[in-house]
Amino acid sequence: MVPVTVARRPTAGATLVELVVALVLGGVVAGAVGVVLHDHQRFYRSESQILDVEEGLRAVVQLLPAELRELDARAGDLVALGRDSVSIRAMRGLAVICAAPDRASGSVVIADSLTYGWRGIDPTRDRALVFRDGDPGTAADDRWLDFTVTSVGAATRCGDGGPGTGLRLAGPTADLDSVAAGSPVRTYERVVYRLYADDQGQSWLGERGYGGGSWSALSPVAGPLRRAGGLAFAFFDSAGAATSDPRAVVRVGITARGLSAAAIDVPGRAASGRPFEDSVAVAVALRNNPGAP
Amino acid sequence: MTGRPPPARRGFALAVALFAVVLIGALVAGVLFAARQAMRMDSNVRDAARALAAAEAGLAAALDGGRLPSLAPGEMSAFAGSLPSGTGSFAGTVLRLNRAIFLVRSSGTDAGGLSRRSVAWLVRPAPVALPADATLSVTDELVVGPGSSVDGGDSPPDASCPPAGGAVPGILLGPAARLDLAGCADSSCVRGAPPVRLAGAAEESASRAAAAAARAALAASGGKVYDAAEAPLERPGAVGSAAACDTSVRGNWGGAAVPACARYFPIVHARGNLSVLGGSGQGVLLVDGDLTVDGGFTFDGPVLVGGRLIVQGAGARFRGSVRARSAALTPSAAGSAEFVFSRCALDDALLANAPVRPLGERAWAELY
Repeated sequence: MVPVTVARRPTAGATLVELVVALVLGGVVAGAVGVVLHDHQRFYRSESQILDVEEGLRAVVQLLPAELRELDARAGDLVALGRDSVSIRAMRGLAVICAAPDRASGSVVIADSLTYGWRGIDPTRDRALVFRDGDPGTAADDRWLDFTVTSVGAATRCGDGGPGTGLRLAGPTADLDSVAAGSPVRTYERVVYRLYADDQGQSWLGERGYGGGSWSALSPVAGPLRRAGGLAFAFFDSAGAATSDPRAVVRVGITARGLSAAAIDVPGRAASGRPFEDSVAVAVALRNNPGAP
Repeated sequence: MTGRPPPARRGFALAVALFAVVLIGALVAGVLFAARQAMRMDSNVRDAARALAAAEAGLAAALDGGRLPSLAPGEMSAFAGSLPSGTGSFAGTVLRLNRAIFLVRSSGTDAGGLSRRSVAWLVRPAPVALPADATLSVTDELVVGPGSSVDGGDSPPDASCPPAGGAVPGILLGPAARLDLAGCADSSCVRGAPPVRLAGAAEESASRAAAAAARAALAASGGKVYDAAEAPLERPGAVGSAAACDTSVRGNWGGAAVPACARYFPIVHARGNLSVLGGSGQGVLLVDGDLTVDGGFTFDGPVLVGGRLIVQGAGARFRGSVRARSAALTPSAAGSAEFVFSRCALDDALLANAPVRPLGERAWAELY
């Protein structure tokens, strides 16, 4: 007998049982992945809320101490104190006069190599404090003269030939007579920081500045914060007692309480199911008013 | 029978497993990324705080003891150090902006070198209040011999000084003082506004008290001390090289003859009598007993003599202000006794020996 070979096509499909098993397994895997994705999305959304709050608090404790630390309360840089607001002369720059001032025109030249600030001098917002030494042999007649900056001029030269920038000042220009080259200049702007709620009812640390003869609108600079008690200032004098006298302040306590915009849903978190809350407190010693206990 | 390999089975378990692993990995990476970002931000805050602390430590170190390097306006010196805690380091400069103001800048860096903050202090010397109400003030007796002159007009010693100010009295006498102008019959050798003024009892008492307080404060600052039994001193003057002023030499009384000593204004304190023959000096000269000068000695700055001032022989020249209980200006015919008022010389000497302090207002600044 001659053997007969029957050609069979290879099996490429699956049996019904295999298919059912695969579908069940696939469904289980897909379901698990879906649950994981959903949980993760929920977790991620909650974590974003938490991070927003913590980032906002971090910004508050970075910004406000940096603004307050440099103020001289005794010289009037703290203008008004509130429980959730403070009005200040925020220092914006330090420069050094490098040529004898022109008293008639109110012009001074500042050395470019000794000009500091995180932004340039803005005549629409900034004022200038010029140090008047008077008699170099005594500190008793020292004072800072307060001027409006009417313009920042083009590049010019200092008395020693170095690069400088001209400023035109308005104010007590007659007192520039005893302002010598080498006198320091501080620039500042009037700023208010306060807790405020936006149109959506969300609270923030807001800022507004004075320029061009009017106050700007409040704009958010850090947050979100709790609506009630989201920002609290406490002002202390050299004896460590709370004070409401702006010129007596040597230390400022700042407490910020953040509140997320939506409830968080993170298993294990105490706040799960509620908006996330956190707070931070910091004390700032005014460097120009030593004596804080 | 011919054997055949079993047909290939294409499953998807591996693909699903790989997909799940990748997905879960991505999720975990996302969570870790968020956590890491938060940690980094906290680290940045910590590093920035450490850098600020280091920068402020630099300011404190630069002003340690209230003394700054002797600098002319426009000159600068550098300093550096690290915190004992090992959490940061600082480096900075002291720049003299003008005669009275210094800018001390300090940059602090945290130990990891990731954060840097810079701060500054505007500081100025706080000199003792020494009344400079005349060129030559005498309480008891003043003899002005031939070859002597006293001028109350302000005379700046060099171009770095501010413009001359108003004149002061040439001679200020105590209410009971005796003045002998025999060597200057027409009084032309005494000039000032007025040339000679007689102080009232109250004024003289207040001036004497202020001078005594200033004298005590200056003497307490140290300087070059001469005991009562010192031999006559010959030719003090500036000592040093072109690069450095050798302040350790007791006879170095400063002066522009050695450029490196031009800004050296020592306090010279004699606890008894002092005789000086020739030479020069600048700074503050305190003599508890009598001061005898000869040989053309010159001195710039305040001179406070508790006893008698005697100018003899080849004489001397004083620029600044001199205060003595009594004085005899009797140089030889070839010599002279010259007294010139100089507000700048007084300020230079007193500012150089004063402790520095931050300005009374707005001295501290953060530099960006």
